[in-house]
Amino acid sequence: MEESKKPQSIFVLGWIILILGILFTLLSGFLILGKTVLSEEVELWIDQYFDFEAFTLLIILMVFRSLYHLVMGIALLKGQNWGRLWFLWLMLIETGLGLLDPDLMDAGRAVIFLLFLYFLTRPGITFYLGKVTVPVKYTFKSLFSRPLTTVLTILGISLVSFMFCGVLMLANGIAKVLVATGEDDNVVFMEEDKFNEVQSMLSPEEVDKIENLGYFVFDEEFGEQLLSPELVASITLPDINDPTKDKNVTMRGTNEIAPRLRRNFRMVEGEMYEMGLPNCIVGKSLTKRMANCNIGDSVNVAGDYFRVIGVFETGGTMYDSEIWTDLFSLRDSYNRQGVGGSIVLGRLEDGNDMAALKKELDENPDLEVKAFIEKDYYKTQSENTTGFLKYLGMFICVVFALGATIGAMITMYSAVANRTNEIATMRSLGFQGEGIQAAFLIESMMIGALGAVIGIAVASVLSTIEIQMFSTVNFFGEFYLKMTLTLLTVLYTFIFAISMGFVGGVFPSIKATRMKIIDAFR
Amino acid sequence: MKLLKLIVKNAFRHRLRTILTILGLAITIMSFGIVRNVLEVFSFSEDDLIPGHLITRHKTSMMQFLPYSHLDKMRQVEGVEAVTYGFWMGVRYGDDPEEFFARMAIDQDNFYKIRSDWITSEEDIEDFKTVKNAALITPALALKKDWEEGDVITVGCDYFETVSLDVEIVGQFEFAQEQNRQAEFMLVRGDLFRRAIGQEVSPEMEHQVGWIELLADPPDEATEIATRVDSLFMNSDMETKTEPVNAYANAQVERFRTIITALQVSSYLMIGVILLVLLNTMSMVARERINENAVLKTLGFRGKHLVILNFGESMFVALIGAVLGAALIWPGIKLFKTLMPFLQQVKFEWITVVWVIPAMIIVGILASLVPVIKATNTSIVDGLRTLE
Repeated sequence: MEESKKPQSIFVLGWIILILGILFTLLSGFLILGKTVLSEEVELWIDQYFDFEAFTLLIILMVFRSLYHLVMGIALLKGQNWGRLWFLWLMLIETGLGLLDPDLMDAGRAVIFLLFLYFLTRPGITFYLGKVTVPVKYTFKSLFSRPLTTVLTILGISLVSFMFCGVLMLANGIAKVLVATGEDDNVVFMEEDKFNEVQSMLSPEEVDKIENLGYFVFDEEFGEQLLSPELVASITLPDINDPTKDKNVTMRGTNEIAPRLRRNFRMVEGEMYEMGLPNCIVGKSLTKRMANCNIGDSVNVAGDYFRVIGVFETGGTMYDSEIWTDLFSLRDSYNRQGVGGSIVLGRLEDGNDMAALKKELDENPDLEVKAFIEKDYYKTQSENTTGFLKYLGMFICVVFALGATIGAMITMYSAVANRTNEIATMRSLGFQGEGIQAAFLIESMMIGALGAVIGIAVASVLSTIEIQMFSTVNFFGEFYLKMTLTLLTVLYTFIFAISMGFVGGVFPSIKATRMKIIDAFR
Repeated sequence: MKLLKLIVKNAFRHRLRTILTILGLAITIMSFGIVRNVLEVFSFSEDDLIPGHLITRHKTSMMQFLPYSHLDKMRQVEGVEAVTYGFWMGVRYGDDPEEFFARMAIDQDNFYKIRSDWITSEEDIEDFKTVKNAALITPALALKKDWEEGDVITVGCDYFETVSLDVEIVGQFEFAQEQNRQAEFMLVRGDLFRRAIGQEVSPEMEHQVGWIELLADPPDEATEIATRVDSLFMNSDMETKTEPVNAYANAQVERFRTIITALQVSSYLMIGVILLVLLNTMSMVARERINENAVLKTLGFRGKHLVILNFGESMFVALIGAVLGAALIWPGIKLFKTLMPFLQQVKFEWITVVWVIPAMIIVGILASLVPVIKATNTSIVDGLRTLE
């Protein structure tokens, strides 16, 4: 009974996947053609429904998905064992990703997850591997039977894994700083049509109007609303190690309330700046990096000197790379009389939700400002920077990975060629072709996994270095971050490396199954 | 000659393996080429600099303007041959984000005394000086927008949005630097821009400039002249920082240091992978040929012949891979540009192909070490005894 059932369900599955693959191919083909050669109306329509920034990623994912569905569908229909293995592997990936990173859980993944659960709970899972005996021990033992070749391949994959892991770690590091910056209940007001703090300028009247909106928490201690107009300027300071080199630093002029709006704000040393005096406090990250940034030093802003009287920290956010001073002193030094501030930051009162505030701003023609939740503002900014890095990094990684995959393929081909005798022996001992194929596939996936282990190990060393990054938030600003290794990054790297091993091993393993016992012995 | 024939025959003995190796090399070389080309965007050549070209900006911030009166004071400084100023105007044009081109406002009377790297005719310089709302454009921009001499164009400024200028195109100019030839660029009269920001932003803006450029004579003393210029404005509220243009450009590039380093590291990693792939194949060759090498030795081939045979095979495969990979760089960049909307500046540079050749020669030599050592170190008897 089992035997007759097996092909049937696989064929159904194969057809489903093949049709999915064809649909994906048609859609991605349509999108690519629509963007390039088809009429402008189509292009406009596409632009309307897929935003441009995400479009590239969308196309890559689409093409990737259509390819793997097509290949898997055909493999399943042809009754290929590796097709089933691949199906299992990809379902594992998709399920793992869906579970680990809820953001990535889309409809397609959910369906695959359910399918996976369904097949997992069925006794019929055996139709993938259960009926086939895989010489597992043999796989492990033969992995290092030709140590030089195997080690070279592992190293090749580890280099690619290292790079892949590094790109993700850098993106994580940026995201960590920028996402840590900003709070859920703070609102940033900015001039309409401006994209960052340095470019935005609000008039004093606009600042007053924002204060009068009445959406903000009233603070008993100050007897005022928790609201701070802030002037943001970019200044240059000499590097501490090389004073001839100037680095850009963000200077923020604000009032006494500003620190209260950042819940992580804490003075490390010295005193707070006072209103009306040319004093300033310096973020913790800067003290080690810039000259003139320790207590007692003076910072030159357009000819005026601001004495450093304190050091503050905000828990690893962007603000740690800033200098804070009094709004009015900075405004006067910077010749920005007549400006109320670059932005206004306020803490929302409970119950008054953002939607109502946005609606009010829309309906009020006198007040040409836009408002964001502070956290969202920095999140968007981090997406811009990390998006750039991820696109660039992933493109290079994928092309690069092709080279390493071919390296793995060469190794596996030679493994199959060198072991024809062994394959024949195993066949005559009763192992089926499918089992031997699985053995070779698992071997090449192991090579991938070992490559990932080395790559991740080396990449994890990077996380101890603090590096400088340009910021899109403040145009000329710079901030400092550490590359961050997360569980998800480790998982991604493993998936990437093992997939490289898998793809490299598929064709050699097919060759191993097709071998006739008689020929192999010869 | 006989050895050459043997090399080619040997290389294709395992056809599939050799083809895969070449393919692996070619693809990795292509990605290496793409990365090097991306790096070219962040680099500039010292050769293109004008000797003695200095640039002055506000000491505290790159975004602060300088007073126009600084120009006259600087002219008095000993060793300053010429002074001119400029503003960055931005790139946006109209509402379409893809319709952008770069533009600057420059000193219509003096710019040509310093910017010998902007090539234009006497006649165009004269027109630029006399026509009140003149603008010069590069041939690439003229071609893209189909603009001709006499056309009047409305351009704005990215950071002062109320500013809008109607400029008349009076001629063309070209960058002397090879890598800027295709740049879409416009130069607008500086006094026109200053008047506009004076009216639209604030009256005192009319007497300010974005940056100042100087020509030091003699060029060798540029650093001392720069110090002399800066000392003029020391302790004023408009302190200046004057530095050679390459130092200024370096500071700009410095911001992207992390990305540049990452790209450089990845390009070396790629060479590493190329080496590993070829090394892998060559170590297989070494293993397979032990027997055969012993036979060759008994036939009278000497150690040096075996070295040439193995080295030649490694080189042969490496160079085919290099040629194929180098040929793929150009289409690779095309693909890269369609996928990366934000890195459109990437261009195919021949220099990256030149980079590939020495890299591949080193890889070829290194990879041939395994079989060469094995072939020369194995005695005939041991070689014949080995069973494969």
